[in-house]
Amino acid sequence: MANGENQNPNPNPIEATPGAAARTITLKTADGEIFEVEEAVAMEFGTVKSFFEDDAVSATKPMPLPNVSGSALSRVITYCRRSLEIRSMIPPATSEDATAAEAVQGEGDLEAEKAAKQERKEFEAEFLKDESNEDVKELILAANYLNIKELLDFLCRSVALRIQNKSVEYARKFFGIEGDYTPEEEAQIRQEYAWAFEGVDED
Amino acid sequence: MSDNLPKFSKSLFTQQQEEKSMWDSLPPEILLDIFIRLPIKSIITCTSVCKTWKSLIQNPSFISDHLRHSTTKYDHPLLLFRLCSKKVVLGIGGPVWFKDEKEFYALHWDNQNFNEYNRFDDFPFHAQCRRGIFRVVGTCNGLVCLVDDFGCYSHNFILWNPCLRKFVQLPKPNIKFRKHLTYIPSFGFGFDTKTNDYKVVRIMTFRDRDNLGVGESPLKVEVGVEIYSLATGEWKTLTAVPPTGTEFYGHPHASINGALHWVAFRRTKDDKFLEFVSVLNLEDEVFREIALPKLGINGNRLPTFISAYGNSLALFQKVSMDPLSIWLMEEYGNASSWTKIVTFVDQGPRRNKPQVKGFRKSGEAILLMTNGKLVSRGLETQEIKHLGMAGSYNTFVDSYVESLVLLDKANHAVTY
Repeated sequence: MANGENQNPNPNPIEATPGAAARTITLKTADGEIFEVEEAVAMEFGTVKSFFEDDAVSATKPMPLPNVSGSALSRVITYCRRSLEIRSMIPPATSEDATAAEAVQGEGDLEAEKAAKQERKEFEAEFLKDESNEDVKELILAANYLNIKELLDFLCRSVALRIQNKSVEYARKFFGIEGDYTPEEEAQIRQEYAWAFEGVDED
Repeated sequence: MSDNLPKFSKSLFTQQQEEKSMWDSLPPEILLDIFIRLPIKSIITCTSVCKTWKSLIQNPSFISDHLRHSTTKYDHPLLLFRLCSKKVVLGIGGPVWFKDEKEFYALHWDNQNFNEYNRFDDFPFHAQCRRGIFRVVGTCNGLVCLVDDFGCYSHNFILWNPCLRKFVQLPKPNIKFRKHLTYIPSFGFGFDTKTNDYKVVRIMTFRDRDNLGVGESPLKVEVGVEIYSLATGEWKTLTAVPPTGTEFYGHPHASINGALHWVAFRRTKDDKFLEFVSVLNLEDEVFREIALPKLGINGNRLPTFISAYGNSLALFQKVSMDPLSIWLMEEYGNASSWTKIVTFVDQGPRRNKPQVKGFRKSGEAILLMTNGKLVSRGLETQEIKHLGMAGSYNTFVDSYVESLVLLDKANHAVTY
């Protein structure tokens, strides 16, 4: 996890590729942590992307992220960085002008896609393994604020997996919601769809 | 975030308050994005978490989003079968009538393995009259339309969502059995995209009973049409019916492209029988016609059957001495594009023909063989694959998608 005192708390700093300038963008979280992120990764954040597209703002000025904590941002960066790596395993689609060349693009790409899919599956299974429900919630809010569709998709999928076939109380606790039905109203729903409330998993 | 002492000394109550307000700021789109990925059982239990969740879920726009998501959710499509658990015996001349047929419905993956995904055998509606059996009219967006108007005039219609264990019993239709006229009913079921409404169509071909001569056509033929709308909950009699002399067989329809299709026929001026496809568009509720291809000798009336095939129609005849052939209308609506695409060979004794019950997503025909077994057969390869199921005359099969349709319906809807 990121240490709030460092200037460069990135868990896996990227090695500069020879000949390529590793441009970074500086982000500042709600709790004052500073992150220097590779431009490619930062541009995965829709919010950051529009910020730098709309304004002729210098990339060296730290962009404030008042709704995101340091720990959440650190996890988000890890996800996006890994996701980019996996996506680069698949060769880019041929241009629209290519015709005969498209026929050649066949099995090799399918293999690469399969491998990438497997990588992603393993990575995603690991990524949230030790996260508590609260951590997952925090990540959702961060992904939503930063407008990262892929991460949000993954997180929603994961939350669905966590709450599916669980009791109503479990869902309430997970989301921190208080039920606002009267006992009679709640009993009515449970009676109408009695079969749905049977056989739920232990909390 | 480090657990330093000042934060820890905050009361637990305040932290809970913070968490609660954190979730209050969660936009509904995210909640819906989570709900849509849940199995239907869990979506229903979520409606009792709180009133906000209930109103998000029991909302027509979420229900239609969920339907759309459902069609892409799995790697393979689903097929719904109506089967009979009683052992089937086929008579020499044709199907044997069962008084107490125990039907059940099975969902299978439309893939190589054809495994069963789910089964529905515990539902409270069975036909009430002496010989009535509930047959499937059609399926649409997860709804199954059933009718027992076959073999007896009991006029019971049901719209059923088996995944919700919820159904609507339709009111009795307006046009009923009349003293001097017998009728042959035809049915259709589909979705009107313009009004987001489900419609059941009932076409009655009335024949003057007193004039039924042997080998002669009855002198008086008229057609009555009624349409039920789920939105209004009522039957409406249609005044713009097909032209006089049009008759319908009472065979299964095909629902594609927002329209219902039946094979109909009429006598031409020179006393020949002309068959064609009668098309009812669900949006404007107007009847139109599509011509059928020339199918050879049709002096005797040998009925033609149609079925949906992708976005177009497939056609087959049950001519007794010829092997089974299938035609496709390659370009929907263009009658000159009817093409015979296969004649099945090696069908055994000529008198026994397999029945076409439907088509798989990949185009193979699903056939009920004369020994009662269900197979799929490739139209190009003619390869036979045994599906491991036994069928009967009333076997129905259609593509199916799980949905929440009827979840927001309170009036006249029954759960079990």
